[in-house]
Amino acid sequence: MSASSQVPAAAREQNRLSAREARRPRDLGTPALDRASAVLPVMAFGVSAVALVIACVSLSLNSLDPYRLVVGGALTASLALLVLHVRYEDEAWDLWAIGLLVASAVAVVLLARLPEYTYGHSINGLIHRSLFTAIIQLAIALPTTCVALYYVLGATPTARDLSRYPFLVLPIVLSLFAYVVILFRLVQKGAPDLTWNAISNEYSSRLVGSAFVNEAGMRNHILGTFLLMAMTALIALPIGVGTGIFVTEHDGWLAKLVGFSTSMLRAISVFILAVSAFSLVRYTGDHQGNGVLSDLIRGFYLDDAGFKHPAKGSFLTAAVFLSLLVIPVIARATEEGLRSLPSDIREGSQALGATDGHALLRILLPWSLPNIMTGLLLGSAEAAGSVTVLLFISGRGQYGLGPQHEATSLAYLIFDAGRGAKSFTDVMGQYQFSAALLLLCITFSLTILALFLKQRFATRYRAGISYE
Amino acid sequence: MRAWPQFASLSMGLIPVTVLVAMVASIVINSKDAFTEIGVRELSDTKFSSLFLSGTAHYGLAPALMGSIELLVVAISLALPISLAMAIFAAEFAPSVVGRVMRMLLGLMSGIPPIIYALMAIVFVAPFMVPKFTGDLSYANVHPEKIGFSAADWPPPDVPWNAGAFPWDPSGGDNSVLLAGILLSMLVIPFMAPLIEDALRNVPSEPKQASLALGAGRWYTLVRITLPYALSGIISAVRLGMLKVLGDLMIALFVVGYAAPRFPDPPWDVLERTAPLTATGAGLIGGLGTPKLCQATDCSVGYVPALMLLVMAVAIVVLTSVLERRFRARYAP
Repeated sequence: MSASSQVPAAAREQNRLSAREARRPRDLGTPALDRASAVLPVMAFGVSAVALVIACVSLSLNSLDPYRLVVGGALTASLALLVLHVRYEDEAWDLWAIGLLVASAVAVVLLARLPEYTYGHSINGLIHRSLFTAIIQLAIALPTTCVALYYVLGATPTARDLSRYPFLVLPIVLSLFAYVVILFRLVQKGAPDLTWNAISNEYSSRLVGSAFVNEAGMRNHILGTFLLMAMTALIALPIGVGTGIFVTEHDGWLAKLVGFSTSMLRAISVFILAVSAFSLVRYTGDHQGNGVLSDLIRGFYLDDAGFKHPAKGSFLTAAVFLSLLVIPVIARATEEGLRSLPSDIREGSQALGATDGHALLRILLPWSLPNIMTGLLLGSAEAAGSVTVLLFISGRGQYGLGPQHEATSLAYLIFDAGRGAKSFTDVMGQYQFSAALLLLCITFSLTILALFLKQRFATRYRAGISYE
Repeated sequence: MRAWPQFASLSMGLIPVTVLVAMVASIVINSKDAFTEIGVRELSDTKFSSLFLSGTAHYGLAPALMGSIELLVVAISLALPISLAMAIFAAEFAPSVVGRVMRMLLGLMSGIPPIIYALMAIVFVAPFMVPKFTGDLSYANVHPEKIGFSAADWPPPDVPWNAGAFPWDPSGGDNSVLLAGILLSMLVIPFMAPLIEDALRNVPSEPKQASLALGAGRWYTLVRITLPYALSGIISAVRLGMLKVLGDLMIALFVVGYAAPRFPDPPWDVLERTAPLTATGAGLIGGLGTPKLCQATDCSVGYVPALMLLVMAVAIVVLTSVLERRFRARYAP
């Protein structure tokens, strides 16, 4: 007689029940998994996580054709999850698990029958099957990973929250990876050409077709970008701040109209600004002849003999239309700053007898200065990078700098060196990526400066009170 | 002189109003020729060719409109889930340091100009993505017999993705709406995610804490309490993204090209080269940077897409504002 048979039957039944209870962490409230029941969830998690990784890899690689492995993995993981659910959830057939199983079975059949390239009924393009595989796989392996993670973590309510992390983290990681790769490639391609010559020399049409192509540089484009930014800021700052103050400090239909049109200025396409700039320049060319107005709007250059020729559009015109892009940003920032002003400060100044002008100069503007500066810097960064507004009115930057000369900027250089006329592309095409890199440096440093100044100004003008 | 701030701010505030009115007026006046000389019937046609591009003029703008709509759908359906995930992670799940770093990174990335995405699209992303999907690379349809295959054995059974092995050069300048949509979604994600994050952070803590106190998990609270409450903010973020996608010119120009020659067939075929309204307008007005090329009719037709974009922008703003107000009244009283 063995020892186990001497134990009374009732006690044995009790033991069996408690062992079963112990396997059910839901009822106990603590993750008390024995080794045998921990294997299955870990396996399911491992399989589905590997499937997920393969899906991400097959999004980026073409030579790898992992769809059989991947779909097999999904099927295994879904089966394991189904068994898990049946074991843990009181023999209930969970809809999630069955749905996943059916979905992966369907995916197996679909992908096994998929040709290497898929196309529509008229061949306008082909899609490689790795893309389908990756998308279907993401759709199956992501929920599978989440459910498996839930069991790995002990099937508690906290585990339910924690198991949702893959849903959030995976898209973030994939998209950040895309940004990093693009920026890395830009630095890799642009940095070697960024020599002192490239920065200090200027483009001249005499270099077209000559052997001295390497003597061309981007000086006028770089300085033109800064000139455009400065002029845009000068024009946009008073208008934006005034608009913001008017919209916040007054009510009535006029303030509503101003607020609405400022937001619409932002909402309408940048392309509409470009078209308007172009029609202004064209109208001046058709109707104003060679007067002062034409010189200011169209710009001009002097040829070798000293004769004056009209250009495509001056820096002044470009800055005016770029400032239309920046005004809504500054106005919105001013509004935000003014709305965060505590009413006791304003009432205190009124009680002490401050006039409206005094309150504006001493209370309202200093308080909203951090917001205004942030808006101005971010707007300038956008103005530096905007090429759409300048598309029809800027030139190649061979005639020098100044409000009355032909507008040009780094952003337009990037466009023109890629899609412009061949004579320009031959000379400046080499600097396309360096120009993009420089432009990126300018916008990034402006953005960082904006973030930094916001904090500094907040401590200076708001006594450190943060109203984020 | 007590009221000089009023006068100053009023005179500054009237400038945007005047400019807006002037711009709308100039677009309407300039596009008048197109409507009177060419007529609405031809403008709404599904065939497009311009003097500038192909020598014969037939200005049907329906393909360009379809291109804009396709671009909107592709870009927003990619950008919304990703920016939603970013915002939820930063506002609800991540430790505050990670959230702050993510917010800074997004602020930095929102400074990347569209032209840089456009440049990287043609030199890097297109050669990278074209083995995955190859959009329409020519003005006409690609037919297998035109590139040396009989229709029976198309597509070729096993084409290795080595350089030059594919029937046509995959690094060509013109590509599909799908690729442009992917890049545009990268452009708008840094703008949408912080807005959604703000909307999530502005949800008052009482309903959230009540839900948590009653035993609901964080995920359940998020789905049932926080997201409905923040829905109006999410819609305003989507509006910003839609307006940015609709108005973008550079990425569409670099990736898709200047003109949409025919209506996509079937209409949802995002692999075709259907340029949106902005690129079509730029091509007509003289996007190659030489206004001399701008022919009289081409030019006036070029203002019609601008007018259509204006109408679409107003429609989007009005529609989303109505939705926003309705959702706020329903979920966040």
